[in-house]
Amino acid sequence: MHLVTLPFPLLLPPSTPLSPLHPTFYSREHCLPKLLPVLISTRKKRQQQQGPPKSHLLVPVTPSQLADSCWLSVSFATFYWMAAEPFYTVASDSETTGEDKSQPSFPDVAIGIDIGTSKCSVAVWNGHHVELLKNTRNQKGMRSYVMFKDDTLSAGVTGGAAKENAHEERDVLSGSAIFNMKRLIGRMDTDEVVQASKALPFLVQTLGIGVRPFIAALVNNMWRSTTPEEVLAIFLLELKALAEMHLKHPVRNAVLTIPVAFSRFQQTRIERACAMAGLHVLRLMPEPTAVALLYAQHQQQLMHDNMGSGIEKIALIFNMGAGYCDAAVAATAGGVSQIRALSGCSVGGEDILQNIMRHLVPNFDSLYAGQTMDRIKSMGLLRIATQDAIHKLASQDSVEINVDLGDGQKVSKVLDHSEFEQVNRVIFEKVEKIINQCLADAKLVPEDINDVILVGGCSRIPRIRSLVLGLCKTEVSYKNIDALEAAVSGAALEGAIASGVTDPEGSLDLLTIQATPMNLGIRADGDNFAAIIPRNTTVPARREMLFMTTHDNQTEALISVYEGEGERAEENHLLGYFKITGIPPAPKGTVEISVCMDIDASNVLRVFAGVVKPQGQGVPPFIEVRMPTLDDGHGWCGQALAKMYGSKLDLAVHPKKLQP
Amino acid sequence: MAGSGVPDYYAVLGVSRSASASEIRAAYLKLAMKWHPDKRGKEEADDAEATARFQEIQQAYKVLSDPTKRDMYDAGLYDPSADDNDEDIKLMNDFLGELVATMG
Repeated sequence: MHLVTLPFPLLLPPSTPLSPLHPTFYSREHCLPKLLPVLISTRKKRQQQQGPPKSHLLVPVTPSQLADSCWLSVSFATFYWMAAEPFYTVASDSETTGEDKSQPSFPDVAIGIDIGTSKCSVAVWNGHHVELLKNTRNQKGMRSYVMFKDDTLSAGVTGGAAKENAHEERDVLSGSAIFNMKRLIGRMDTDEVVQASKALPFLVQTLGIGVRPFIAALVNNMWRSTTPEEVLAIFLLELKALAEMHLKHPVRNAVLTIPVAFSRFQQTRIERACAMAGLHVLRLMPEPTAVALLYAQHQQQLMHDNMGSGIEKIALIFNMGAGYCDAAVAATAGGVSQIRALSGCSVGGEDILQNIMRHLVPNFDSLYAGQTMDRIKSMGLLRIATQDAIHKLASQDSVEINVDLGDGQKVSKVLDHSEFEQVNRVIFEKVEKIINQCLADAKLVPEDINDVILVGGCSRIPRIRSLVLGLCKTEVSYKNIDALEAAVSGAALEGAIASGVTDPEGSLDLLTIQATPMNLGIRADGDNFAAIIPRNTTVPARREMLFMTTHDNQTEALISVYEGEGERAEENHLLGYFKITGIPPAPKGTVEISVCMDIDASNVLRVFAGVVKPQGQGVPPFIEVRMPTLDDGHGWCGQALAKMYGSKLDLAVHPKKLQP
Repeated sequence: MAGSGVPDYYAVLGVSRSASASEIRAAYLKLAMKWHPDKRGKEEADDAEATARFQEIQQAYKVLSDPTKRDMYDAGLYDPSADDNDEDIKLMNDFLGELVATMG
């Protein structure tokens, strides 16, 4: 195997087909999800069994796949397999000859990645423990942004690499960098989070019709369009390169942490960004559950050292970063971390920052409407001053803000805790709701909690700390966890475990039993939402529910699959839809239709539906659909369906409800 | 005894009918470590079997770890198809409690 050392930083001119900015990059990208698992699984087996390929077996590919895989192998090869890898997919798992088995090959261990709204980090299992990687600037937490310049791109991992080119916060806020992509990814332009993102220094244009927003960075005084997926992919490429530099072997698999509030549609966008960066997602782990896994390891360690009792411990994990806030209750014993409840929402430090900016500059919206160079610069100055003030308030009683925004606008103000708390009252109420819901769902009272773990940048805010600890009726939080490194460390642990790594010392004898963060169900009984897999159901899960026709001689039924907490279908995320056709004509309510939802251990959702009564030859076969099917989170799809079909294809929940 | 169609949850977890809550918990953890799909080696039995087995274990634990559900199960009144509605179960249990009280 020939290992190619990467040019670092990874700067790809848009004129090359390898560049994420080149048009072909994206036309190819659509086929990736199909092809990638083949590549990954065959390579993975091969590496496990015999290291780099000795002989090649062709996997049948269609001409179009072949064309696509040309690109794929070019992309893979350019980074590391250049000399060894042929043109298309190869597999050699069936021809293991027995030779070379003892030869050490690089272990294909998934890396852990925490993509934060504000900062990212990457960690690996190094054979003994989890190690956080540092970039050339000696940072473990790297600012999440991608800088667009003439014909080069560079992400916050390298941060402009050389010292003289180092990006400063004001460069990031100059309009040329895109950041906060985790808040924007997979969201439609009607989403309030997207609306709030218009206060960012780059261009976020919305039409308010339920399509993806238009996002652009300022390059040579022109707005150049991009997408959150592209930005994330570029960032992930740099993170992957960093890990490969460190590990000195290619990296393919990753475990990424995601917010609890991420919809399944948003998850597919993260997977797509990873595929664009040549990474296969082994797991997407809700952030607090990654922390729970790390906690479970700590408890195991304590027990081995005879300091812990080994009995079950209940932890409440609260995580709040720049973009999201979430909570989990985990029961831990014997290395098993069982997620009892999850709750989360898209509220974070960015909202606090914007609240304070609007408080400091009451005419914020009119002042910064329309992004001219002057206004972007001025807004950048305000953001920096506000960020700085919020950080200082974590350790002092009050802070003085003095900033000249240009054009005669000056801010001069002393901000204290009570004012800060008043301005952000709504945020703290949401935090309270998250914690209370999590406790209620776990059917626990605060006294049941053994440890309260506070992580994420916002857990440093005194009011947030006191609020969460107060709700859990305790005075101190769990000490042995780093608030900014816990999630990525947990992801790296899961990466090692899910890659099948075992540790002779037993520090990987761990298991996370996940739960679903949101209800999954279909539209039924008019516009209502019938939850088939309720939230906080243990994964893997399989549930079935019975429905019946609502019209006489109804021959078709529409199954619209939703995810969310709303009682009405339209309040939730539409994941996809399909029709059951050929239903035998019968009086309404007499035909029984079963809808079964299945989530496997990899968190893939499948929906099975079909007629169960009457039975016989005249009944159509069941339909199996992998969700989500919507290629874009079109908010107007549900409305279009309602307009086209009304209640003609409706189903109602059968009184028998669940199948035994 | 449990009604027809309801599996023997004690047998699934491999514990006696008089097992304590901590015994049930320990049995569940041991079995989860063994049967959770994440813990299955790639070469071992296919995922579908492990998944089905784990779900059975999970269901048994869900019922036996909840004192109310366990009581109902022991009395042969637990109906898995009517689960997921904790309100109903609570009402039913309250009713049973009252019934026992009036009879006593």
